[in-house]
Amino acid sequence: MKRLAWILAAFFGLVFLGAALLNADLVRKGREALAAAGIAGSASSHRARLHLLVILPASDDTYFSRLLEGLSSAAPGVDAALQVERYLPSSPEEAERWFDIGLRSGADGIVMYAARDEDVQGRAARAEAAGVVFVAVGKEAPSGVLPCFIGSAPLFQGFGGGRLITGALAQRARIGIILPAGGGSALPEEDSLYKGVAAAAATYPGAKILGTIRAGPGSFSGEVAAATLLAAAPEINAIFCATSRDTLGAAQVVMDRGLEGRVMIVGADDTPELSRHLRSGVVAASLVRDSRRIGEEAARAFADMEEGLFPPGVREVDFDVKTGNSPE
Amino acid sequence: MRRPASLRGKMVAVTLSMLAIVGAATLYTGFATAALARSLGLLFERNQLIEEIRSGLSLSAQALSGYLTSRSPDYLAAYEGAAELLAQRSAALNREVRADEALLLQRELAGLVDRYLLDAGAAASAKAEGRIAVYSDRFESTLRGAELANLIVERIERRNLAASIEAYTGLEPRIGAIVATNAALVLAALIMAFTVFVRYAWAITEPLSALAESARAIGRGDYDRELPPIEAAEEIATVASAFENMRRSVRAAFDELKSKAEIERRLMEEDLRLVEMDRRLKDAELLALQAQINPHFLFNTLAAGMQLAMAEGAERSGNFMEKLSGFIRYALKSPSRSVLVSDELECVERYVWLLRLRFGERYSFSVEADPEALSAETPALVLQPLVENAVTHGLHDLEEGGAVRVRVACAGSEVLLEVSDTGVGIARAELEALRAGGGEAARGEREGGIGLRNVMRRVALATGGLGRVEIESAPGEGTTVRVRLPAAGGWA
Repeated sequence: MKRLAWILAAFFGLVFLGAALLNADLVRKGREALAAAGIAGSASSHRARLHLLVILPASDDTYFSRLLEGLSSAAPGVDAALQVERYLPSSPEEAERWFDIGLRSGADGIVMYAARDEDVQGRAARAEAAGVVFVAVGKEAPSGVLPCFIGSAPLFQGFGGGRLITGALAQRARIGIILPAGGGSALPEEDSLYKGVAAAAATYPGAKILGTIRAGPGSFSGEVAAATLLAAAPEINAIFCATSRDTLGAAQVVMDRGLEGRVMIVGADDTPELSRHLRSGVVAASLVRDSRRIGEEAARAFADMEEGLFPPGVREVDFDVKTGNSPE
Repeated sequence: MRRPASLRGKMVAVTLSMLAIVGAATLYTGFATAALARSLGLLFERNQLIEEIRSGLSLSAQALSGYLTSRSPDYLAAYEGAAELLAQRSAALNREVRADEALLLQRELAGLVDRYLLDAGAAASAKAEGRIAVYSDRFESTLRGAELANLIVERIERRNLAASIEAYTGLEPRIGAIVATNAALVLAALIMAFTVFVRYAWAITEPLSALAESARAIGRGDYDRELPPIEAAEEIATVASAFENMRRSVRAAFDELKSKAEIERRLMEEDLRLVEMDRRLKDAELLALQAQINPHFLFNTLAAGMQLAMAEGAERSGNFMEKLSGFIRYALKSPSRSVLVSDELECVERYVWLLRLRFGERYSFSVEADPEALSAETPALVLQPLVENAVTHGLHDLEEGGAVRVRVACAGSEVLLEVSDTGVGIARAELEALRAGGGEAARGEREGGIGLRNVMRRVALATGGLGRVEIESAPGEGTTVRVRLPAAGGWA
């Protein structure tokens, strides 16, 4: 009798434990759902002093993902909570709506991506009028007097890429340039990236830029641009790309046409796929813009301006050159 | 020693245990269900709140538009009502800055609604004041604010929907297992509670059953059945202990009564034996008295005859009269008296003289005496009956050659009186009967005589059991009867 009682007690204990675990899981899932909806669990989330709205294009370019990483890592240090909103690159009005929401909703600051041709100066003025700190980030600083812009240095990026090409091909260099989508002036020759590449090519008499094309917003625009360049100027033996997406597209075209070793690709930024191409030699080098650092700088600039410090103006962040021999 | 728990305590413990087990299972499943229901309730309430804000935005914008168009007080009242409701609902939204995207969306919505209400209120006031440019501008801002707020509302709803779908997707495979496990939990709790109940019910009733069985045994008169060891509640243990004590007391009383009855029975038997002995003694004395009457007459007559024979010169008849009267004088005395062995031998010699006169040379008689034994004591009339038996039963069928030998001697601390004959002997069965004390069955006493059984009994009575009579015999080989008496005497 006693033994049966012990067996039943053990059985009951196991069932009770199993039910407890399953019920706890059920409750946890329910709470997660509530927390995800902002209903429950709010007490456990970190309370911040500042509400920072981040508005970025919905792109698979690692430039933006790294940028967001930098913002996220720096936000706790400046006691800010990030709200990230993305818009389609093809829908500038959507970006404008989020900017307007930022101004009307009582956010303490807005960090917004800005292409070279956008009216960043006007947005800065509207933000100042609404009492909201505005920080623009981008790849190339728009024209005009900007209170706060954090970006990379496209002129130096173009020059660095051009030096890599002419360093390898010298006067034999026949260069095609794929400029980034969006932004930029209507004339490619006025783009800082182009100017940088051209300045480098000019140092080697005989080296030429045979074609320049601006990529579209689509996912395969890099392939389209590279194919267009090669079709228009088959003698091109080097392609300069300004984004990781365009670099991967150009590499795909070169491999599809069996031009590995004959067409040198100098790309931008870093992704696992791009690293693979670097190791295989399809891509000779990549100019990795430190967009993470841009994000960090943007968060700090926002905090400084919130504290009443003077806007820093235009601040450009350097880049690194990565090859197949670079450490991971 | 551990003191057993009280019956009341056990019953309370059992009840509490069952309640705790079932209660724990029920409470836990209830808690889980309530937590889930609360989560769903919160989700529903929050979705309802967001929907009410959307509705409030739409209604207030329509009413404001109507008021600005018509300046109707009804529209104004409708606007004010909708705006108040919207403000109330907006107040329930999160307004803190937290590192949580959903909460920041709510904060954003709250800010947009506040700005919307501010613009709408300003537009209505400007309308009342007739400032066209102001209310036109503010109304446009109001519409823009409503558009942006609806954008956030949709964003929140999409997010809630995505979170709900994700949560449900995560929960759906578990729900079946959770329901089954909870059902198993309730079942296990019931089984556990039942087991506990049966266990304790058994523990409580088992000693009672044992107690009842012992009571039934006592009812049947079986006081030897001991109550088995009982580990039970204090009350039952107390009752069992008292019951066992009572059983032992009753049994002890019965044993004492039995012992007393046995002692009384033995005493009664002893009394009966003494009464029997007394009766037999009295019978013997009566017989002796009866015997005294005739022998006295016979003695007086024989004395007269002896004097007559002497007077007439019949010497042999005179001797006969003398021997017979001497023998009768010896025999008339009390048979329970103690005499000297020499006296007993003198009596036997007179009796042998008379037998020689009767049987002539047909039988031979011899008497041997150890002088040391003559002064010893012996019950009277021991040898004469033995000689008479030897002649009457041993030599009776012998025409001639029969011999009777009387011998008296000392044997250690005993005096030996022995009578042996060369007669027919005694059969084995008869001999066994004689040795067992049934002398009358074997050598049938003559009426008025003193037989072997009488000798054996008187020897035993006179010596307090110290003396004894031994018989040796075999068919055709004669018979020897030995009387062994303590030489020290003094036992009479």
